Amino acid sequence: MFNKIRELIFFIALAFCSCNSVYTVKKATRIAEKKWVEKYDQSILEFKPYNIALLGDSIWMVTGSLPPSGWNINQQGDSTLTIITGGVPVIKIRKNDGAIIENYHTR
Amino acid sequence: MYSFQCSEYRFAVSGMEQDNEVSGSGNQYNYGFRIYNPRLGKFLSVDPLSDSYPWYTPYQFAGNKPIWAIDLDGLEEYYTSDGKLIGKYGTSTELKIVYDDYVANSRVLLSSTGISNADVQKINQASAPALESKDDLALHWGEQFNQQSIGNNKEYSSIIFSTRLPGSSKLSYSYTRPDVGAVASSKSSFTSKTNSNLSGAIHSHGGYDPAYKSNEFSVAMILGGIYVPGDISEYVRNGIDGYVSTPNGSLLKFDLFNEMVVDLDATTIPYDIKGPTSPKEEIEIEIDFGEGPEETGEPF
Repeated sequence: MFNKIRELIFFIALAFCSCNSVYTVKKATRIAEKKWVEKYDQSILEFKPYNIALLGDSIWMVTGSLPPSGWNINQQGDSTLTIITGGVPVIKIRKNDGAIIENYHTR
Repeated sequence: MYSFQCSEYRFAVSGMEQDNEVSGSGNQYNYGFRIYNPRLGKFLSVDPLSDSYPWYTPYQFAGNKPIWAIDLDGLEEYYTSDGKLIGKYGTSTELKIVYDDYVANSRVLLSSTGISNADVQKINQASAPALESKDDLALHWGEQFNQQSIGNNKEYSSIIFSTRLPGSSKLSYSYTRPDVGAVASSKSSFTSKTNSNLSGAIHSHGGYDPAYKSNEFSVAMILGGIYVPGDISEYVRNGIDGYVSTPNGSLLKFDLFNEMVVDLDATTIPYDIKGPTSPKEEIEIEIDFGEGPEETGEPF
């Protein structure tokens, strides 16, 4: 009986402790989008697909992406190169407590 | 009363003086080095530089492209005497187009680019020189477009291409008309032609904005096994040098050969005075001490 109560208390404590933790890619993405929209505007959501990595099992890093540069050949046979330069939003989120370590946008 | 008769006007197309005494009114123009007959559409004598242009008949006018090119002095087709090739494309009366490739690659901007019509017009009428130094060309670009990019807080971008001067081993560089992009990205296009080669790219970073890292190139990252592109990775991928003019008036170059970023120490590029790293304008403070008390000759 005593063990059961201890187990219950442990799980309740765990639930409280981990309520801000970011254990899934989905949650990391949701936080990133929320913070980006707060800092920039809705157009920031056009930088999909996002790239997500868990650095050292402790920090989520989420970035946007840009369309690729490349050559195209039209019907007349002219080849045209389009170079896309620019930056993407970048955010680093601590896995344990969801704290924002860095939130910036390159250019 | 003021009266004006057109028949008294001495100059004709391209601003050259008419010579009406030889073949009748408006039928002969003096181009300095040669005499031009507009009825024939030809010069009356052989081009002194015809050896340099074996693909043209020695009697041709403006490289046989009279719609978009003018003949400067009856000698050469596009070039100024100092070889720097100042060219303009637009509605200016000083129209002197330098290359087919410049025209082909410089799309006319539309007012739908999100900037004012006046700015669109300025870009469409801007001149693109052809210079022998790519760094000088990038500096010219920055001087011409960084101010507008800062004002609109949008990135502008152009392609730099090289052309070999006819009869010369030297390359000259020019750029395409800038495309106006978004606050943090832009794209520029280049159509490959026989005479010109892709040589570089340049863009600006808009105005100072604390939410953006504006005074540096964006760098590529590999994240979760996925490649996230940046300015420099695009230059490496296309095998070209890259330039960026920043809100603090710097001109940075990514040197492909040495694989390093160099600050070209530009001092003439307009900058955003709001930026903390922008050069501060020197303010002269004049202190007026007044004229002082009048001398009365009496002791205080």
